[in-house]
Amino acid sequence: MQHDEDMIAAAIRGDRLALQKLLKLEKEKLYRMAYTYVKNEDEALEVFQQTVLQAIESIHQLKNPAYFSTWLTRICINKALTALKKNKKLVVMDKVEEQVLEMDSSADIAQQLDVANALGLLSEKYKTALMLRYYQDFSVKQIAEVMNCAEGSVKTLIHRGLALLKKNLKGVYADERQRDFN
Amino acid sequence: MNGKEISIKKAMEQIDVPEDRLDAIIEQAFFETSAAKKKKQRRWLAPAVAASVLFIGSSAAVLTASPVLANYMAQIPVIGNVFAIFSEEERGLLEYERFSEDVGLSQTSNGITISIEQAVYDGTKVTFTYTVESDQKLDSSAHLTGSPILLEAEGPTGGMEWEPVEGGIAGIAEILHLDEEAKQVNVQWEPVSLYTEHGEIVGDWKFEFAVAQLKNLEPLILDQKVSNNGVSVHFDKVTFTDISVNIAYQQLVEPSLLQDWQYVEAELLAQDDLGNVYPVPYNGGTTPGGSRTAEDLEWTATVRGLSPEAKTLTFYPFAHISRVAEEGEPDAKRIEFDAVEIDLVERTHSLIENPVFPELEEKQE
Repeated sequence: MQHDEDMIAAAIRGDRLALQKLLKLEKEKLYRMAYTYVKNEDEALEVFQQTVLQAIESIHQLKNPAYFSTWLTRICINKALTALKKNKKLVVMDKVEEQVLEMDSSADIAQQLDVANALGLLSEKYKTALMLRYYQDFSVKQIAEVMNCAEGSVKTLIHRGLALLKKNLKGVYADERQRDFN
Repeated sequence: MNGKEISIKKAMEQIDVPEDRLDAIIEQAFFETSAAKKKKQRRWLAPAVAASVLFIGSSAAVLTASPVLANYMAQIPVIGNVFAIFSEEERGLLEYERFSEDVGLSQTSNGITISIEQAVYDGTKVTFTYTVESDQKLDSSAHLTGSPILLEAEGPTGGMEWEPVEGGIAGIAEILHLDEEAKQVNVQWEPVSLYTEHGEIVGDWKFEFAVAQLKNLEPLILDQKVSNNGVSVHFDKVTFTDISVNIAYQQLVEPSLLQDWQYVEAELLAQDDLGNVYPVPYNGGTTPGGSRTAEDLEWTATVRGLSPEAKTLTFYPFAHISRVAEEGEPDAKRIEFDAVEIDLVERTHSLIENPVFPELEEKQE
């Protein structure tokens, strides 16, 4: 999401209301990212809460407003991975499936759910790269910043991640038709 | 189409987002980080869910925390004065102890005794103290999991701090709930476990208790507006309890000001006639309907730890207005306003023009 750089600059220099507005704009994406890692609402909320706190405490360290989204996303991913390490527990996909199916049992939802499950089962690196590319709409360069790796590695992760998803789901990849990820 | 259409975006958008809870978490985070509370260990309460249902279905004893009833409760072991442990950093907590009621609930499970000691509700937040005692020596990682909830509140509602003390843990919990009309509120807490780095002891504890709100005097209506440089602060009313002073005010911004500036935030500082200066952290702000500008906000804020000897309390409003220049560094300026003095004895108020602003002594970390 592209934010008003002025608002980000204001947040960096200590305008708490500006930061609050920015976090509210990002909340859905952050929560869904967190949820994809930890797979339950309570823990996703906790990851979200820790992300918000960390953002408030360290916003002043952000040098360039242009990096706000990648900076915030990195905080969220780190918090989620830390939560996973702490818990080390098995993710019960069936439960997630039931919850969503209760809302709408259409075939399309079920298919998307398969995608979500398949994505959830990928290793962290593939999962992170794919979410950042196709959900956050980050460029390869931005993903490299978030994941702290070379751009070439990001492309490899996206290629392999997609290949794994396709193999597991035997489907046609929709996001790719709309955008070249290079 | 052959096979399924794979869309990560669509799949992720199916994840249900609890928007209200996320908003509440954000607001809570800003509220809590407005005060410097870093030394103690701190945990945030998870959002409360379906609180009223839990209350109705419960058969656990509900204690009305009146002093009379409390006297009937068994004496519980006390590990020092819990309020005192936490009052070093937090102004006004010792007054909270003075006016708090004994709760005196204590339960033991799997060798762990959890006791709720005292509780107080000042119309903005419920504060209660607890202790945890164990036969085993507890290290600094030990803390309780499972958060207390307020049956009247929704969403994430406060924070907990704890410290290891001899014989166990002493803790203090705060649950925010701004409702000056509520005569009492109900706290429910089912600690799940005592967590330590070396293991987790799960137990069966359940507490429910009511906390009466400290008596409010009738609110003093101020209806006093002060203006400077296109920003006005309108003092609405002030209410008093034995331990806190709550003030409601609005910031109103001339639309023309926002042609040059972007953000406005009006705050208060308070000083009593003895020279004590108090921070006035706000509990939260909202944009009222029908506002002329996006920067028009209504605030409530609370002074804690007011000296009992104080005869007057003066509120000094100031605002930061800021913008980001087209190129280069951001720009900000501070404007100050006339102050409003409250006569705490006579319950009157008066305007002080061109006041000398007091300075808040920052606490050393």
